[in-house]
Amino acid sequence: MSGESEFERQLRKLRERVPEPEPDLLEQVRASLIAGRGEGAPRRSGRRGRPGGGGLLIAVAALLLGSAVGFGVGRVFDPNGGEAAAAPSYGIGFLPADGWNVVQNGIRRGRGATAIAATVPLESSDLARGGFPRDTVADLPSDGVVISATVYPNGYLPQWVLPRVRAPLHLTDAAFGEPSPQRTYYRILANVNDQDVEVRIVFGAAVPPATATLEADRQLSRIVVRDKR
Amino acid sequence: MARADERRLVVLARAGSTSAATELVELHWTRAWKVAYAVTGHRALADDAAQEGVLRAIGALDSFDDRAPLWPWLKRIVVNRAIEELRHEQRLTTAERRYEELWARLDDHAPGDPSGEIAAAVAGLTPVRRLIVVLHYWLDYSVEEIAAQLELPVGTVASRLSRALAQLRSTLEEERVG
Repeated sequence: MSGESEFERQLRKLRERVPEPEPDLLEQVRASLIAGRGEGAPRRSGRRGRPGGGGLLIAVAALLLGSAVGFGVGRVFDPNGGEAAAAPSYGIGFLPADGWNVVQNGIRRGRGATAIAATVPLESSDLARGGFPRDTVADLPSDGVVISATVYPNGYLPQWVLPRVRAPLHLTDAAFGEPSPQRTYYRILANVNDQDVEVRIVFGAAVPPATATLEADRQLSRIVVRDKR
Repeated sequence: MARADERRLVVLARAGSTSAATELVELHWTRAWKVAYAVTGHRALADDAAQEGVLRAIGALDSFDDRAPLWPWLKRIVVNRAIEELRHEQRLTTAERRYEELWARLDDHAPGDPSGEIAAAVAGLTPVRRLIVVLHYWLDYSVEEIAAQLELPVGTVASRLSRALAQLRSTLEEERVG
């Protein structure tokens, strides 16, 4: 740009050294697009967008007040409030099962609550942050499985209608499964019990052992989504 | 890709074509991710911000004015998403000067390479100053545009940018003298 000093030009030139994204990430985005839209899928009218902060708060409050029946989640972590032994359900959870560490993270701003089930201990950073447990996934052993299930009380994205799926969920509900050199990712984007739900299943190997696949499928079937109505 | 082709894809995607939407995403994905990475300085945060930003944009195509090119509009959505991610992680409000992986990477330079010295100096800025530098010099946003995106007064952004540059120059001079 004109009028810039040599120093500023060098500063600007640094952007050329920003690295490239991981190749399999684009596959995940494609999968989300396919799962979320579908060819010819009906689309929400412009009136039904995701509400802003106020609307979200109201919706979340309604969820909390309405969740008198708790789910069988192991522990509940709120990124803002620490661990709570008997905290209320946020609308999604896993039924308890041997061999799985199950937690429920509090609501992240702009997103729904996330329930996580993993065959390995969850990283404390993931518990503190909430949302998708990326640090646990980064260190996942080859026989490990992580399932993260997020409910979006106000819809996954404005103007999207996710396909309705009846619980229990199974791996066959996943619209896409993409192997990467060291991981296998599945994603389910669906409307379950009138709530938009995103489930991400990560295996620690490009070709997961059959036992891990079977266990993951069983654990998926233990996801409980609170009926919004 | 010619503008007419992009516009055709936008029209088809609005009408519900997933293949057109996918093509648009593929067209802009790499630079969308790079923008998210430039803002966050962190690969995992960039992954989330770029994915959600791109999907959000595709979901909001109805509000896009297709007489204009798509990229500036998409870039703004991704940048906003990346800034939200930083705010959520409290990486803008903290006094701590995080040495993000991006800056560690840029700082990895051969002796005498001035760009590496500049990268190291930028890494030493406070998070907000660093973000303003990135938005202005890497993403080509004007001071007014940055002010709108960060919800700060224009004067505040201008003064932080000016102080950031002064701090960078001072750091580099100290290093050269020292």
